[in-house]
Parts: sequence; C-alpha cells; structure tokens
Amino acid sequence: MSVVPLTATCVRKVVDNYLPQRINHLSEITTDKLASKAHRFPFLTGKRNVHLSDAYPASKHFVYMIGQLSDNPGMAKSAQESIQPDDYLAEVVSTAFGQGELSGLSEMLKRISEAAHAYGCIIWEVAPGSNLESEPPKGHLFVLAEWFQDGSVFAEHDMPLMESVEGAVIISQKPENVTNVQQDMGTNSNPASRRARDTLNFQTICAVPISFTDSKNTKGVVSLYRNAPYPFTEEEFARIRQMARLIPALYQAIRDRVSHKLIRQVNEVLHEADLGASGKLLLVDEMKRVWNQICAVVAETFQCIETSIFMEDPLEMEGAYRLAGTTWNQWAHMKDTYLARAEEGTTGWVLAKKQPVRIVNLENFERDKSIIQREYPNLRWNDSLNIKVSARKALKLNNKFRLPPLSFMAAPIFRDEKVLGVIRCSAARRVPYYFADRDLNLLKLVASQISRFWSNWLFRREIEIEKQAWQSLVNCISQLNSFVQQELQATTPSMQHIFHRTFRVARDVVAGADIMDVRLYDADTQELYFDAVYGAPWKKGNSAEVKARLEQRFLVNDHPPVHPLEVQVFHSGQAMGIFNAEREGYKSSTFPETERIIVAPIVVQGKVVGVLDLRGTGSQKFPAHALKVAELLGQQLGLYYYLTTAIGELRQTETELQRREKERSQTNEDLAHQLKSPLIQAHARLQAILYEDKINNVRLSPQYLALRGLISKAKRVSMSTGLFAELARESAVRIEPQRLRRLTSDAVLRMLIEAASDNELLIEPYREIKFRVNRKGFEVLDGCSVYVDPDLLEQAVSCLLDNAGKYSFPHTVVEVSGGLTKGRSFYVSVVNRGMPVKQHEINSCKQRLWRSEQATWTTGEGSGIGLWVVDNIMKAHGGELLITPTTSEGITQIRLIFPAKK
Amino acid sequence: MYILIVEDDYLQAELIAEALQNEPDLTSAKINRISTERQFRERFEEIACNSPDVIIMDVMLRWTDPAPNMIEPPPEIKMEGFHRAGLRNEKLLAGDIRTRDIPVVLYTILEATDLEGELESPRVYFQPKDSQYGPLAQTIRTLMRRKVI
Repeated sequence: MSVVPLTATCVRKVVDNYLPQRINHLSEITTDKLASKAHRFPFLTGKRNVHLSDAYPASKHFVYMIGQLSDNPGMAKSAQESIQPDDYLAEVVSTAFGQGELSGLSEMLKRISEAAHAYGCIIWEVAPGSNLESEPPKGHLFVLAEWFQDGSVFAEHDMPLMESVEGAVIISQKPENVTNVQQDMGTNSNPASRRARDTLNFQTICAVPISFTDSKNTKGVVSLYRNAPYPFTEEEFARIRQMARLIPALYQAIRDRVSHKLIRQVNEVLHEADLGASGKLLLVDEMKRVWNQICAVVAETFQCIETSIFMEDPLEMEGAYRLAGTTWNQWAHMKDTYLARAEEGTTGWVLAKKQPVRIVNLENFERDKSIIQREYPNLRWNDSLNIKVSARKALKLNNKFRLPPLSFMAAPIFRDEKVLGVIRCSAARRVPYYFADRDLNLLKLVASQISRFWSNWLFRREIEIEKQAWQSLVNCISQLNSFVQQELQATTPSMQHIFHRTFRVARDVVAGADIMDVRLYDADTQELYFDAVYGAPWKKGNSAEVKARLEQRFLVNDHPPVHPLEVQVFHSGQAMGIFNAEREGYKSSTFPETERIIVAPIVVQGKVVGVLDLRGTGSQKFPAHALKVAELLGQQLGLYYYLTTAIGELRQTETELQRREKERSQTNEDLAHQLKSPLIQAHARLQAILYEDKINNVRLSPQYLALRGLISKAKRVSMSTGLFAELARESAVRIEPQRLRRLTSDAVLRMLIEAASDNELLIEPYREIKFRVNRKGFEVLDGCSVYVDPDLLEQAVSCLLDNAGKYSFPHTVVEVSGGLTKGRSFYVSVVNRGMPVKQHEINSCKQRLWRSEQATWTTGEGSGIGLWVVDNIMKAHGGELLITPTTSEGITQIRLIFPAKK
Repeated sequence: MYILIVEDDYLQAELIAEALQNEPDLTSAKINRISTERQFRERFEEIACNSPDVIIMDVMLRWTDPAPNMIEPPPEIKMEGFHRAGLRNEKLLAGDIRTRDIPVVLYTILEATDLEGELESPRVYFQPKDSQYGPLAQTIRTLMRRKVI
C-alpha cells in the first residue's frame, strides 16, 4: 500500500468539507490518536467523537486519510480496499452532474484529485491558433480548469506545446507518469513549466491526453500533481486514465447544463418582460432593467467581471450603439456609445464586421496582436474599461498578486443583415478563466435571443408609433380641415396660411422633419418655385443669401442627367423618399446638411401643381410611415388648393353677379318708373273719358273699360317690377313720409270698385267670376285714421284681386270688404272660393318666386312675386298680410291689415 | 275658311278674331278658339276630323282653368311648365298624319331668338304679337295661297 501524502491543508479541507455536512450514518472513531498531531491540526482539537459515514463514498476517503493521519494503517487499508474503482468513477460522474456552473468543473477535478490522492489537477486545452500538424508543432496550452488542495490559482495560458510534459502528451497522445519532475527536462525547459513547478511546488505529474467533444475535437490534457515525493502508482495511473476518459463528456454535460440554464434564464427574463408589459411597450427604464437582468445572468454564467449590452435605437440615433445594460459597477465612467467602426476597438469591430470576437487574454493583447489580427483583421483594443486596474478592484487583488487571465468575448446581435447591437463579456472571476469557442457560441445564442426580442420590440414600437402617428394625423387633419374651412370663409382665402398650418401638422406627425417647403409650378416659365417654406435653415445667412435661396427655381422641362428629386416627383406624380442621404448618394444643393428627404406631389384634378418637400437634418430617422403621411398631406394640399382656387373664383363671380344684379335692378327700377308715368297718364285720361261719358249718360264703351283694365294691369305689373328691383337691392320697401295719405272710405271704395271692375273684365266670361265690394264695413274709416301710400295700397289690392280672379273656381263671387279687427286695426278682406291654400303653404305664399304646383297649372303667366311684394308693402306700412288657410267649405280669406288710430 | 285660335287671353283672342274678320278676304272665315292646353288635347280628335286651314297658336298657355276637381297635367308638362305649351301642341299636330300638314302660326309675345332651335318644321311660322294685325293677316293669306298651289 502506498503512503498517501497528507498536508495540513489537505486534512483541513477534507474535514471542513465532510465532517459537518455529509456524515449521516455513523461509525465512530476516536480522535485521541490525532491529539499527538494536534499541533498540525488545531481544528481537530476538542473533537473527541467524530462519526463517519460508510454509506457515502467520500467518507471512505476521509477514513483512509484519517487512518493515514492517525497512524492507523489498518483503518486506512480497510478504507482503501473498500473503495472500488467504480466508486471513483461514480463519484466523479455524480459530481459532474451536480454542477450548475462552469466553475463546477473544478469540483469534478477535486473528485479526481481526491480519487488519485493528488495535490491538484489541471485540464489544459490547446490554445486557438496552435498548430499540432506543423513540424515541429507550434502553439501553447491554456488552463481550462484547475483545482488545488490549498486553493492555489495557477491559470497559465501560455504553456508551450514543445518542451513541456503536457505538450508532449498532447503531441504524442500518450499518457505519461513523471515520477520526479526535478529530473525531467520537460518541466524545467521553459518559463511556464518552471513557473508551474515553482508555484505549485509539485514533485510528480501524471498526464493523460483527452479530446473535447466540440466540433473541432480540440485537444487537451488532464494533469494531476503531487507536491510530495510519492509518485503515482500504476494502479493510480490506471485509475487516472479511466477518469480522464470521462472528462470530455462530463465537461460537455456541465456545459450543456450551464448553456441550457443560461438560455432558460434569458428566456425567462425576456418572457417576464413581455408578460409585465401586458401587451404594451416597455418604457425606457423598464427596458434598461431587462438588459441589466440579461447582463447579470450572462455574467453569472461566464463568471465574468463585466457583461454589457450595447443596442442601437434607430429612433434615437441611427448607427449609434448606446449602452443598454451592464454589470459594470463603474458604468458611469465607461464608454457608453459605439459606432460600427473598427477604430472604436473590439466592440466597434464586432459591430462593423458583424462577427464575434474572442481574445484569450487582453493583458497580452499587444504582445499577441499579430496572431490576433490574423484571425480578426485590423482589430484594435482601446482598453475602454482600463481593464487591469478595474479587474484588480473587482477581484480585490492587490499588486502583490498576479492577475488572472483577462479573457474577452463579444457577439453581434443582428437580425438578417442589420446589426442591432452587441453583447460582450470581459474577464472571468473564476475558472475557467478563458472564454472558449464553446462560450462564444453560447454567447451568440444569447445574442440571437436578444435579437428576436429587440426586433420584436422595435417592430411593435414601430407599429405603436405608426398607430399613434396616424391617430395624431387624423386629429391634425381634422383640425387642419376646420382651419381651412375657416380660411375659406375669409374674403380672400390664403393658401400661404394653409401651407404653414400644414407644415405644423407635418412637423408633429413626421418626427425629425425640420425643413419643409411647398413648390408650385409656374406654367409660364415651366419652373417650380418656392411658394411657402418652413424651418430655421431657411433663415441662415445674410439677407442676400436668404433671398437667393428663396428665389431659386427649378426647370421641369430641361434634360439634365438627373433631375432634382422634386422635379422627378412633379413628373411622376408619385411620392419619393431618400432615407439615408449618404448611403443613397444624395446631396442637396439648397441644404447640404439634408440627411433624409421625402417629396410628395400636390395634385389637383389629376394634374400635379406642385410638390411638398419634407427634410430631416438631425440624427432622428423618419418613421416608417413618413412617406405615406407626406403623400396624404400632399393630397390634402391638392384638395385645399383646389377649394381655395375654386372658392376664390366663385367669390369673384359672385361679386361680379352682385354688381350686375345691382345694375339690372337699377335698370329695371328705372324702366318701371319710366313705364309707370305714361301708364298713369293713360289711365287718368281714360278715366276722364269714362267720367265724361258717365256724366253725359252715354253708355260706357266696353273697349274703354277693357282698356282701363289692361292699363291697370300694366300699372300693377310695372309697379311690381319696380318694387321687385327695389327689394332685390334694399331688402325692404321704403315709403317716403310725404307719400302717406289718410285713407277715407270714399277713396278706398272708389279704388276697390274700380279694381274689382277691371279685374272682372279681364277674366274669361265663361268662368263667370264676379267681384262684389261690400261698402258697409269701410265706414269705420270715418272713426279712425289709417295712413297709407295710395299707390302701394292699390298695388296690394290689385294683386289680391288678380289672384282671386285667376284662382277662383267657376261661378264664384269674390267678396271684398273692410272693417276693424278685434285689435282695432283696419283691414281690407278678399274672400273667394277657389284653389285652396293649405296651412303649411301660408309662409311659402309670402316667399319670393314661390308658386303652388296647382297655381302653375292654371296660369300662363306670373312669376310668384305678387304676395311677396304685398307682404313687403304691408310691412312697410307697419301692417300685415294675413292669409287664412282655406276652410273645409273651400273658402279662402286674405286680409290686408293696417294699423289704425282712433 | 276655318281658323283656330289657341290663346288663353280672351281679350287677345277677341282682338285677333275681330281684326281678321275686318280683313275683306277673311270676313267670312270661321274662327274658333281654344283657351287651354288641356282643352287642345281634349279637342284634338275634333281638330283632326275637322281640320282648320290655319292654327294661330300662342306659345305660353295655361294647362287648365281652376276647378274643384282639376285634371293633373302629365308628368312631362308638370316638369316643363306652361312656357312652351304651344310648341307641345304643335308637336301633337305634327305627330298625326291627319294634322301634320295644318299650317301653324306661332303668334307670341316671345322674340324669335327665344325660340331659336325650336322652330324646325317648315309648316310652322313665327309671328310676333303686335297691336297691328295686318302682318298676321298677311301671313295667313300667304299660307292660304301656298295651300292652293
């Protein structure tokens, strides 16, 4: 039986690990014998009854070790013999499966070390860039994982392939058991080996080659070390080889478990973020919390000091990748924005090249630059985190201790061809200190999860913004319509006002549009000219420059190689947009600072009359719907332009018509007066003849009587024409005070009888319409005073009698009477039986040009102004035209009511 | 000779009849009168069977006289109104083989320009109303001579 070397550290660890927690089933040992060595193991002092479990394999090692320690060879032997080879393997396997972190690999190595009674164990991996096929093979090894009894950290990353025991094992692919390192050339021939030997103070090595289960079958070696002069026995060597065969698969199992856990955690964070948002968009602070959570789980997985995410927000600033989340506690001092440029350092390089980066040790970046740049051309490292100082702080290492390797990896977050951001990890806190390709692949998976989430979020936000923008647009258009409606009511509607109001709408709806103009087409010169402009840049420069800018014109019928965008839109009638001037090679002569531009046609009745031009100069890109919005605004402007022009023309026409109407009214009035004068004279002379005949008792000539009727009718029509003209111009009949006469019963009766006679004469005899004037009622005029314009009274009466004659049924007697109303007003009443006037027609009867349908059937003349004129005559007298609807007996009464004074 | 006057103003119709009968060659002419468009339609068969030698037609005619149970005009007349009633009557005449050759004198207060495009038939003559009836009598004589030829 070999003697197992036990150091104080070893025992302490064994006791620390197993005594308190893992002893379940007891087998008692006494510690008296330990007392003699108590000075070496002060922690055992006072522990008199230590119970050991023989059910748990680990306890057997403990028994073995304690046996050794307590000079109890029987106990040690018994324990060792009870430990079967399968137990070692089972222990290693169960340990591996119990790990949830990459650092759990160390636990596995611990079990291996314990099983082989070694001081420590390291898994070496061939570093990227090494070439095992070359002659001689080139490259070096780095520590993937390690465990030492005393907790030492070795973590070398540049152990040469050649001139090292580990390298030799990898090259030969044969296990090796170096019993005395002092005599072995391989452990003395290079600084790394010497450093290892000196640091770890080991005396014997057992190394077994392994191949990792990754796609490249990366080579590695498992080395076990003893710092006591007891070489590994053949039995132990065989056991180590057995365990080493399991390592790649177990390592992969730990990795898979860790990977699965990370992916699940990231998914949970993103899923919870979605759930918490309840269908709404996360706010900026909420998003920051999500990014920080992701950084935290990634940092925990890779055990790194810093994990940061940089994302581009296209609405905030296109092309700028801002710090979204980090685990770096000094984030306030770190570079918080990257551009996709290699000069920006490793993070900028990843963004620019859309490729992931992995650097074994940033500390050696300058030394290994040429090798690194072979894989990552032009990669720079700007040390934005001041990583060495920061890592020391983070790891709480003073300058006496060597820094562990500062590994770095970063993966782009992209969707299709578009880089959305980057996630990076720097400097692991624990083993494995180096980020391997496997880690980078896992980081890429996380990047793709972030990509899906962020793309989805951006898409939803875009939809949300678009939805809000359309809602806002609808509101704005509604307000704009109201504004235009008001503007159109102005005497001279101004398109300038409308254009400027539209610019305000465009500014609110198309975020980022800061320069705008409307260019209209000048048909004479065939040019587009600026009709309205908006934005501070228009005012830049001195007055001459501003003027020159505004007076620019753009020919639309010339043939240059390429027309300005505005002219292209004018010709095509289709809205066009350039959303990245630099990328699309657009350069504006008027505003060279233009970053993006949208031009929409202004179309009136299918013809383009101008264009609406929206530009952005800042970093904010136009929203996705901007082109559609501009198109819509262009259409609105076309509509407004049409309405303004049409209404302007209508106004002009209306003014012209009013002017002509006034002229015509004046002419009509003048003609009516000219006509009235000879008619009055003719009437008077005829009256004189008739009067003379009557005096001389000569039978009145029917011709004369007919003539008088015709002249009366002509007078009435003439007067109506004059009043019609006057009312068209003045809206009311005016009575000159000097024309008012007090009405006497004689005068009114004479006038009524004559009017009745004249009207009767004009009616077809076969209809047998008679007129009867009831004299009696008019006597009331002797007791009251009624003032009238006699001509207007005669006009009103004639009109009523004319209507009565025209619309009475055959064999009707039209009754004309007078008297006082209950309100003591004087009235003249005309009652007939004829075409009915219905209740709902009462008001219409007084409207200008209104005629009932039946009235149009029974007259071959008339224009519907008779009662309208009468109504105005009565109003001019302060009186009223009172129309009573036809009774069930078919009687219709119309009254002229005049104010009367007692 | 038989003259039919379609005129809704009876004073006007009397004057025309009187004036024509004062013309020596028309003294013995038989003159009848129709006063509304409805009457013209109602008496159309009579006109067709006993055709006048000439019809003196007013253009603006009322449809009917007021009566408790008036017959409504057809829809097209409701729509067009009384302003072209004489022309509608003339179309009725032109549309019937028995009446299409009866000369029609449109005797109206309207100006010839008012009826531009509406006087297409060579059988229809325009004569503006006037206080002198000589021109009307002359037109009738001309028509009568053509008829004899």
